[in-house]
Amino acid sequence: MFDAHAIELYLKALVETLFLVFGTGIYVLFFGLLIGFFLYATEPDGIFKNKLSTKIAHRLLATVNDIARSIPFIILLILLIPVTRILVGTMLGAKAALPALIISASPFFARVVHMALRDVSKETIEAARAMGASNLKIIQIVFKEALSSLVSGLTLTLVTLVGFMSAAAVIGAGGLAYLAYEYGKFGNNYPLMYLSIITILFIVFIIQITGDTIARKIDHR
Amino acid sequence: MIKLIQVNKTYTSKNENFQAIKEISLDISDGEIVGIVGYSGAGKSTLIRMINGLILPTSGEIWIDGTLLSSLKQQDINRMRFSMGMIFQHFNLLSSMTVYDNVKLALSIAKYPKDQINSRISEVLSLVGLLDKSLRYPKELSGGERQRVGIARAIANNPKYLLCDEATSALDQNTASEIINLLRDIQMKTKITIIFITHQIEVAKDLCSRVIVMHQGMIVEDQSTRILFTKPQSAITKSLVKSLIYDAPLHSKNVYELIYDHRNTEDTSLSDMVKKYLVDVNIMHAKTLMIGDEHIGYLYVQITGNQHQEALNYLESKGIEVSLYV
Repeated sequence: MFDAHAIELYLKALVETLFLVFGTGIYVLFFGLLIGFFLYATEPDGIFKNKLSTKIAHRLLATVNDIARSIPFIILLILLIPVTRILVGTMLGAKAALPALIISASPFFARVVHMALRDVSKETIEAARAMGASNLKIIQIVFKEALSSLVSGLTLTLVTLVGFMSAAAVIGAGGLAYLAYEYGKFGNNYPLMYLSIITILFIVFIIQITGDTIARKIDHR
Repeated sequence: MIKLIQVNKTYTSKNENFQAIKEISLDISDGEIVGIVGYSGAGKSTLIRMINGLILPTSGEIWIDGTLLSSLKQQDINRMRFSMGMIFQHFNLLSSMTVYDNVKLALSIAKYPKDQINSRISEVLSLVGLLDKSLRYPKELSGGERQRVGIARAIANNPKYLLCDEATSALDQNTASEIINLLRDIQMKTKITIIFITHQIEVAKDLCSRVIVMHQGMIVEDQSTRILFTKPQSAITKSLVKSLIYDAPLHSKNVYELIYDHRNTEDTSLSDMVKKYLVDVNIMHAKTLMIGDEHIGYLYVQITGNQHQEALNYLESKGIEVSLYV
């Protein structure tokens, strides 16, 4: 049932999963914050005075972002096969899922960031302006006020990422979901399949609970 | 000194243009407590935001201490705002920061000397009576306490001006008068110039020595508080003042409003009038308001008799404001 080989497979898959979640997570955090902030800052009637060109940039970015977000992950995965080959060099293993995961989850997180920033009260921002705050200071204040929502949003995104990874298993990307799929599909090791699934659930719970706890702790609204 | 010269503000949208401020000229001297009163939509909020440059006028000039606001770069406007505190109807504190950090934010934005920030925060927090709550977050405070934080934050950098935007409108009456007393207290100590926007004329009465009444983007009256309450000129002022004195309609005929100021509250003019002109007097309603440290009396009486016109003239000769109540 759990022979040395199975345990080795399991541990390798666990490491791959964690690598995928947190490796992708860092990229998603970076791109999501960047795109989300840009969407917020260039918004028409937003907190900054915007020229027509920034409004057009906003529309453009929002459109591209929404397109990337609305392509079903599994389709994106297949669409990206040639790009992945060039970028990563292979279509197998954990790394192969990275581009698709990042391209799929970043726009999602970007929208979450955008909404979290937009939720910061305009009146609070006005108060900061009345104090004589520079634009840089205003941005800092906006992020500080939105921090709790950002943490909740990141938690949501990471959990979604775990779900995406299960889909990536179908094209042979590694990880626990792949293990469960491979060993469950042919019925040759059900215990290993269940163990993988339980571990995935466990990872989801850990992410959710940690995220919720941190968000609650910094939320004073 | 704040000076507005023929200031206009028009909001443009796709469907229509809305002129919020029309040809307003105005001088506010240092150390004054000026109330700007009007019903909602009168343009008060726009006006106060033009003073610290949060809203730019469409035309006209705004001078702050001899500097033309429109000649300043954004950076200089920010610097000018260091000397203008502002408090708000909904307090607008940062929810993610403690009371202490909220005040600290204002000081660090204003580049207050770092080694004195800590002691200055303690100073202003004890001035507003919240030193023991400096580590609380805004949501743990009552409305009145939040406004005190707002005030502490606004005056932390020793500004020359304090702009108050409906600062008491979200508070109950008791808390509102506590805030008013606190502002009066601070004004006495620091001689800060206060510009107080409100739709509640009673608040302006308690705090301000001068009241500007606005209606549809224009100034309809600009008077010392006492004159405003004893000799209101415009219909808007009359209706604002009336709401404070008596809001029930009087349907009887020949009802007159008599306004007594401090010089004639102790007189016996009314009974003298009755004896002299043999008129009948029926008192409908009476109220005394405290304006500054003066008592102003409002008396609503029905006066009938052959010589009632002469009787009224007699009252006017005694310095009482007489007008037919409609």
